[in-house]
Amino acid sequence: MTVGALILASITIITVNARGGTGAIGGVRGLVGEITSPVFSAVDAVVSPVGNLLAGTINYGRVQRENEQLRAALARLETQAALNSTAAQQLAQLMALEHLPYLGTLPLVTAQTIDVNRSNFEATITLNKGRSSGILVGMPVVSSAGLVGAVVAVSNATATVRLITDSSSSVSVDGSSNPADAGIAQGQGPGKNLDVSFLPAGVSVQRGQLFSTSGLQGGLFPGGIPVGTVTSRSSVAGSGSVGVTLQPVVDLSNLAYVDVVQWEATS
Amino acid sequence: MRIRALRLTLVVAAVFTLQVVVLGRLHIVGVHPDLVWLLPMATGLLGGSMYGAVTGFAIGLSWDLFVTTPFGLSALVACLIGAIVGRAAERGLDARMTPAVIGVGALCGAGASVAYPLLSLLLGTSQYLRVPIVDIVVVVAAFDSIAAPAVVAMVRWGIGPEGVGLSSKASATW
Repeated sequence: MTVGALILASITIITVNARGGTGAIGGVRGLVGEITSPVFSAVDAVVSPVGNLLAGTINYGRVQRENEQLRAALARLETQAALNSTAAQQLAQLMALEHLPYLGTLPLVTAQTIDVNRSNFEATITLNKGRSSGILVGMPVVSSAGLVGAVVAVSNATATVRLITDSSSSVSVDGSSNPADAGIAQGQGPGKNLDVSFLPAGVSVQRGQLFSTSGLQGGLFPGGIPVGTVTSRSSVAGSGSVGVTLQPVVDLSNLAYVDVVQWEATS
Repeated sequence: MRIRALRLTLVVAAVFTLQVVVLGRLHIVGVHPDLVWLLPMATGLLGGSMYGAVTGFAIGLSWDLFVTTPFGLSALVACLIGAIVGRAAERGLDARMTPAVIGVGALCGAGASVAYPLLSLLLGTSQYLRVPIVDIVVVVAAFDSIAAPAVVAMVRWGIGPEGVGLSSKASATW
């Protein structure tokens, strides 16, 4: 056996996988995840308290300040939520009139994050619920703030979610309610902002403006889910389009619990 | 032979668990340390190019089951690391020289971080060129240089006291 044969075997595996053979690999990955997840959880249960104790001791002052800030933020958000409920009802009615799926009316499965991306070249999380809870590949994942990503692999007890910052993630977004103003938000890697391309040249974009999923027919996500706010805008020379950078509205580095939306792109 | 395979499997499982449970959550400028590339480096260093390539392929393929990147890409990178480091070991690179192990660990971390997006580009996927490669190279190389002697010691225990030898017969053909 030579190194060349092993390299050829690797390339063959990659090629077969890329040409649609992901079903079997996805199944094996799911099975491995199901077997190893309890082991990783058990080790984590032993290791985490030690890590948390050290981190808590070192950062005690910061943790206390954060706690106070979070209490204040929670009080503000509770008031805001009460004000938003009327607007949400109106939006749901409008979306229903336009025959568009609205997030507020779709069933959700709440799941806990048990793992974060394992490679520096992916932005993923693993959830503690899977097929047995009604989660399927392609379902959108949200937090209370906005879009988190989509399910890319599922086993009976776990699901892997590709975050919107993953370099292979693409989301159709718009900053207004006009579908003609939609662009594509592409991930740039873990912890990085999203780049939006294909926005028409005349579209109005302000710094801090909120972009949400467009919900275009056949899209991968229902409409109206907040994705990110504009941090910069540029004109793409020669293409007649506008480039925009979005900061995700969700803190993707700190996802303890998320909701999987039981919605499929074909529905 | 079976005992050696079992011990080496235990070492690989321990490194994978450490990577997933501890290092995967340790972020430095948005990048986490990556110990996995040190396993084929250590098997190549201690067992030569053929042993490094074969074990690297198996280790990489196993790691591919834990990530969502293209299946087989880690196997390809790990196989190359094992073979190249193994060839260097056959030509005199000594696993007992700690400074050399530290240097090779840093090179493997950096090399794997660059090879991953470049090989995927050659195979038709350009998405990994968008990730912050420089940040990844710096963090992974720095951590791998520190961790390399420990991983080599673990793999040495996995291979066992008799070793696998670095004879010319064990050399891989390219």
